Amino acid sequence: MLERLKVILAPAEDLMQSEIIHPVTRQKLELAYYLPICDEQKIHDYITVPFSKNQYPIMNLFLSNANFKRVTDPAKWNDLLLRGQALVEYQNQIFSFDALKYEYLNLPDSNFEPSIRGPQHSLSEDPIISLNIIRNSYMSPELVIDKMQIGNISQTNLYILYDQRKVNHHTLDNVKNKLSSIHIDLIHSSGELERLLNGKKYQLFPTLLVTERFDRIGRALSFGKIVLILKGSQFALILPVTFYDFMHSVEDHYESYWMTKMIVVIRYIALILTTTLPGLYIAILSYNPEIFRLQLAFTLVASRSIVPYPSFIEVIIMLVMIEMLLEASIRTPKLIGSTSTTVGGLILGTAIQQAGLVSSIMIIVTSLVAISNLVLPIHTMSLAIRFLKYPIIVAAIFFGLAGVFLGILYYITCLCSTRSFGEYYFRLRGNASSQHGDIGGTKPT
Amino acid sequence: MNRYVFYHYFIVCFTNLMLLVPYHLISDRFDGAVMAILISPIVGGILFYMLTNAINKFPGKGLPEIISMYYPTWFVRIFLVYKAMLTGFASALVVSSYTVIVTRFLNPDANPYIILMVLMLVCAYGATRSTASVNFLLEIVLIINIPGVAFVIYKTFTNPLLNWDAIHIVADHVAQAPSLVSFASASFVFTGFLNLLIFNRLLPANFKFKFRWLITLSAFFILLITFFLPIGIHGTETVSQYLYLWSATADSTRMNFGFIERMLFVFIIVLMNNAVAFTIVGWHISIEYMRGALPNNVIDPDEPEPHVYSYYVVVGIVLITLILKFLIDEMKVLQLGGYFLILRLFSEAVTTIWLFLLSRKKVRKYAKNDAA
Repeated sequence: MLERLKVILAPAEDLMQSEIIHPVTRQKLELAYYLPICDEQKIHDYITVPFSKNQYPIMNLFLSNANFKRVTDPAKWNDLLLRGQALVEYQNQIFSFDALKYEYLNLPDSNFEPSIRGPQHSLSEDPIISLNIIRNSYMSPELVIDKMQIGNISQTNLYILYDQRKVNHHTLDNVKNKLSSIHIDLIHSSGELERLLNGKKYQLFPTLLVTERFDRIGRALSFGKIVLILKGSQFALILPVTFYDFMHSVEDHYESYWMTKMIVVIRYIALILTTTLPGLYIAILSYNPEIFRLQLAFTLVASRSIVPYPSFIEVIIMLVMIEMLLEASIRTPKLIGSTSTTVGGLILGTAIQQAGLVSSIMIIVTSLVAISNLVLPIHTMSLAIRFLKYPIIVAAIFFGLAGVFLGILYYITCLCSTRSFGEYYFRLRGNASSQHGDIGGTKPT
Repeated sequence: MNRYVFYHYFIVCFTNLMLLVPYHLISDRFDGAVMAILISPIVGGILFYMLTNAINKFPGKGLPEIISMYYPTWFVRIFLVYKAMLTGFASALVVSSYTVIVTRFLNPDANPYIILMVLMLVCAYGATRSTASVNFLLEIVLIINIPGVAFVIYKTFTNPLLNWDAIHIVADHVAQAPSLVSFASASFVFTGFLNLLIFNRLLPANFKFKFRWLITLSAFFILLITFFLPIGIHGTETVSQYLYLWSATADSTRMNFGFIERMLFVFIIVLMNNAVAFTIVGWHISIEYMRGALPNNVIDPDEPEPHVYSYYVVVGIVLITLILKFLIDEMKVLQLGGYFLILRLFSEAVTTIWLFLLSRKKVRKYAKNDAA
């Protein structure tokens, strides 16, 4: 049976295949099961231990116990194994034994990427539990789980998951090479791994997606992406990714069609607002107030009339304040967190405007920038975007509107020239059929 | 994938319509500009068909590779340097005209040289990226911009001040034989396909060009609109008094609703995106030609890091543009632009026909091999 299994199944690290020979009777028993989705204790209790004790003829156990079923059709092996059955061969007869384990009770709640209707649990720090859930949700024989060690001292286990049929093997080799070239003593979190894999130090945008959600991992696998799970980390890494993956929340597949489409549009609007709004404020108020219609320009300038310094100082004061506020509310214990937002947001915001140090329009701009930044669904991207507004502010101080739009063009250039593990990061998909070939497809790989 | 061809065509079309071309066309409006506008799509279309047919025979190859297959190295080098200068000069003209527009309408107090430097820095950064990156950049910029361009044209078209009589009067001069400058500038609009001489490296091997007639036809309509709408807005005589005609035309349209009242600002932003994307693409092509002329060049349309040659060439281009900007004033730029357009028309037509003949030759050679 084992030889045959090797032919039909993908070479997975987590497929246990063992041949047990009884030391006394010299009888042979072959056993195969997927480690993450099977309860090993149960297999021990019902198969391995009775076999080795040999108090009761094991064939009788197989035939009498309802948990064992005879399998005659080898075509079903695959299916049975993936459904958490252990396959036993004894005296040329094959039995399946139900040892399914589904570990959903041991999972922590998802705090980082919460969803309303999706699964409420996140990955576990124990990779075996995570692999259990992934195997249970992605029941395909093509799913391959490779294992390797990272860290000279820590020897931390790293699991590489991919769909054998769909993955781009060029990318896979690339990733494996990169992983094996990593030299580090200790590794604690997938964030560290993300930095090591990213390669370029000064990259503006993340080229790996960090997630804690099973549904996202399953979807990524089905699109031929590679998932890395590190022992002791609640977060998995998905690669290669495109920019659009960062603009996408798993919830988009669960809720009503039109509303989710609209929310995606809103995310892009939020992205534009959060990067450009402070820069536009400076450029319009200090350089070209005549852009706006007269009434609007008057309103803007009138609200600024009591402020005693140029607009960019105002912007810098408020943005530094909001960054401190965000940082403070992350680092403080949850009980105090709400106090800091109240003090910072409500009291300080109102007071600074009444004192005439900052215009009320600027308060609106600041809150809009902060809110629209939080609209972005993925934390790493949201952090990357949070930084983008500062270079634009500098450009706006010196060159006005032209600076703001040149800054945006610069970012677009950066995005277009970014590659995530050799795949294009920012491009419109279009309908590139394999028959017509893709752009850049002539390149020999 | 035909959309990529479309993008290359239209970036040239949009940018030149709004910066250089209208000036030359309008100054000849009674002396054959209308005829030039009518002839140029035919000539442009024929060249387009010839070039696309030719490069279809050389899948995945740019002009440098094709030429060096047939001719000795010294000739290839001279030819490529000449082509690089021609392409680089077009972009330099665009970027310097755009600097003038920014300093005139947006930041009147700013030093134009500093504005030019910043524009060129962004363009230089973009132009040194790989061919694939430039291609995607172009796509994104055009997708952002096409609604803007359409909006500007639509608002101008529905402007109640648009005077159709003026348009009729100019259109009546259709029988005049076109002058060389007006013909050259009108046909410049139809030469966006020349970008394919480098970007063919990206196209897949079994690429089929489709909708070539549609691309030419829509460019023709855009040319008609950009020529006649300013005449309708400003009148037959006043129209020749503006250097940057479309900025003035956009400024005569008012938007009743929304934050922004003057169309000019929308126009300038749209134009900036267009001009920067045009310059990036132009300089990128120029860089690739120059690199083809330099020894030990590696051709990789999706290189992870730009080759060191790219930086050398782009620094050279930026310096030359700056020096030209110091030496030449705005009026001269427009006059020189006229001569440049004529020179470019001839040399590009010659290149295209030449490539077409080369591609025929290649087919004949293969046919012989098959027979033998």
